[in-house]
Amino acid sequence: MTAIDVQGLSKRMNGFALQQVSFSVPKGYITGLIGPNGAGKSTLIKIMMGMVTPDQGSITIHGQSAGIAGAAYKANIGYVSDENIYYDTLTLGEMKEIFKSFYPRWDEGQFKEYLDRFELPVKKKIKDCSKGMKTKFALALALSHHPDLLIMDEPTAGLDPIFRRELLELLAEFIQDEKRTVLFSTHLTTDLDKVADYITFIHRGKLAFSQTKEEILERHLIVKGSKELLDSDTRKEFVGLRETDFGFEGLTADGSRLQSIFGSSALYHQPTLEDIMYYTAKGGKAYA
Amino acid sequence: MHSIGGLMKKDFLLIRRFIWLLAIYAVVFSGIMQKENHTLIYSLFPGLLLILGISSDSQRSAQQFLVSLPVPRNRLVLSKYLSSLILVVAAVLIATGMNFASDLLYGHPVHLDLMLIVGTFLSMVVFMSIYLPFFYWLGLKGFQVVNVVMMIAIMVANGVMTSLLTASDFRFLQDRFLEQPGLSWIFLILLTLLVSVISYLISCRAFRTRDL
Amino acid sequence: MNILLNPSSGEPIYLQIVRQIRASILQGDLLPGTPLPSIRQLAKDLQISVITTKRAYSELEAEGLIDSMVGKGSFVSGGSPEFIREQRMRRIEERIQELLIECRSIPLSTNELIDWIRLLEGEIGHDGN
Repeated sequence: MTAIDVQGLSKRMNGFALQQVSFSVPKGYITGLIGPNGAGKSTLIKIMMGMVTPDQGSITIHGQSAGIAGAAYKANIGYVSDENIYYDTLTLGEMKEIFKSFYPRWDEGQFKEYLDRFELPVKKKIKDCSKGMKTKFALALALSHHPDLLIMDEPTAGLDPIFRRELLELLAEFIQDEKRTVLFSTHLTTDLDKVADYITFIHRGKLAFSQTKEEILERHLIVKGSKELLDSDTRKEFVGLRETDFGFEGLTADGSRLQSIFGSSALYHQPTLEDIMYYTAKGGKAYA
Repeated sequence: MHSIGGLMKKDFLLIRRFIWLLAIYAVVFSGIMQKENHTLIYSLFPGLLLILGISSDSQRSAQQFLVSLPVPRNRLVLSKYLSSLILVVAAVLIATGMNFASDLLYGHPVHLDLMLIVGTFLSMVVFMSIYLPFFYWLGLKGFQVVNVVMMIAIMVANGVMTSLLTASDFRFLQDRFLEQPGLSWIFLILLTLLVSVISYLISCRAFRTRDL
Repeated sequence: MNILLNPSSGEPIYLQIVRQIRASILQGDLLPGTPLPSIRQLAKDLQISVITTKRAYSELEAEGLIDSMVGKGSFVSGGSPEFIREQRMRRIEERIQELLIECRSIPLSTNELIDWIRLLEGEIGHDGN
């Protein structure tokens, strides 16, 4: 069962383009949307929220057509933007009063709980709040109307490491109900290394892969060895390579194959998502 | 429709911080300070109120917020038009009130120039109908330019209006108008209505595919 | 039941979970019928992916150690004493095989190993200390 279905999405923007991107966000799980800055993650999310119109393709959310066409589907989405979209001159409390009037499932008690938990000063003007506070506020608003889908665009940028951990706890709590789904775009992948169930990687506007995090981390391997091991054939096995005077380190997408090629003359270890992003970017070639 | 209420409440909440500024302007432009020219307030004040009403939403982030809500874009536009309409009504009423007060203050005979009031109201609705589509059509930078142009236009128009009101040609038009007041008014009202509906449709069209 | 994960040990996380739960069941720390935490609750507490806990439970179910019922959750299966014994024997066989491979690389002959086992058995009292 999918919460979000992206089909053949293309969009040309300044400097880059999303090209025929298709993937699904399964219901009941946390899907991380990763990719270097400028890869198109934010644009994808904006298209989902009806802020940007695609040139081609479509998105379906909970079975309804998402985008400019309709707006009702957004009542079931908790959205956290990467920028502050709230009115700077209002206080947190005033902003909340405006916001809640659009969501029939608004839970004032729940909101107060989050206010306490995040230590948010309800009478403070939004312009006087730090980036961290603004993000926490956005989270509180998004969670307090009991949506079934949480879409977050770079929520951890600007958050202190302590709250980033707390955010992961919040997400794990959120997902206890298997009807709910989380889509979480970030270029700080250490958060996702732990709790993400699925990972969708967008590289230079194209889909690199979209699978369970387990499959991805098991399939890929970091290989370290001496320069002599590299020749034109073996180089092809790597997604990305880093060569120094002391040897090389690279990422392969087929770990078992490379292990059978190099055997015990190389060192291997499991990559992190950050390794995968780094080497894919370094490799330069569009990920097949 | 409940969402329209929420949106309009938002507009008024945002304009609240300009209360003092508006109060000062109201006093300065009214007959209280402008002893000879008490029509100044009728042109400048509603224009000012309209521009302030729009400005809080002119930032891209605010537009993103509004579009992220479960409200169709058309309805966002409609609520803006309704809020702006109410601002125009409020402005005209305040202007009338201020001039009434100044009449009392200076011991002038109290008079209510109905034609001026309704005329101002209708022309302000027309102004709004020209102004708002620009808001939905242009990005932030373009819109700031438009604001400046509009303010200048208001001041120029005010100058023109003032000289018009005293010109003999205008007296002629007025007389013709007064020959058939009922019909003329109906005609003007319908025209204003038409212009505002066209404006709304243009705004909806412009906003429909705007990327934020 | 305690589950402690070592993310840098090289052993897949789901296997670590399987191993530890299996040990608890076979040692009798988890009695037949004991309810296990839901896959989501476990994922939250261990701060890992739900897919991983799901996989672990699938594995345990395949081994017959737990039963999962839709809507009710997972429980330690009511295995007979023979079944438990058989499972434990299988674990011992695995360990013996590991031991034999290790001995071969030292090298230590099987006979020397057996003598050594007898020696240690004497030191281990009958109450298992």
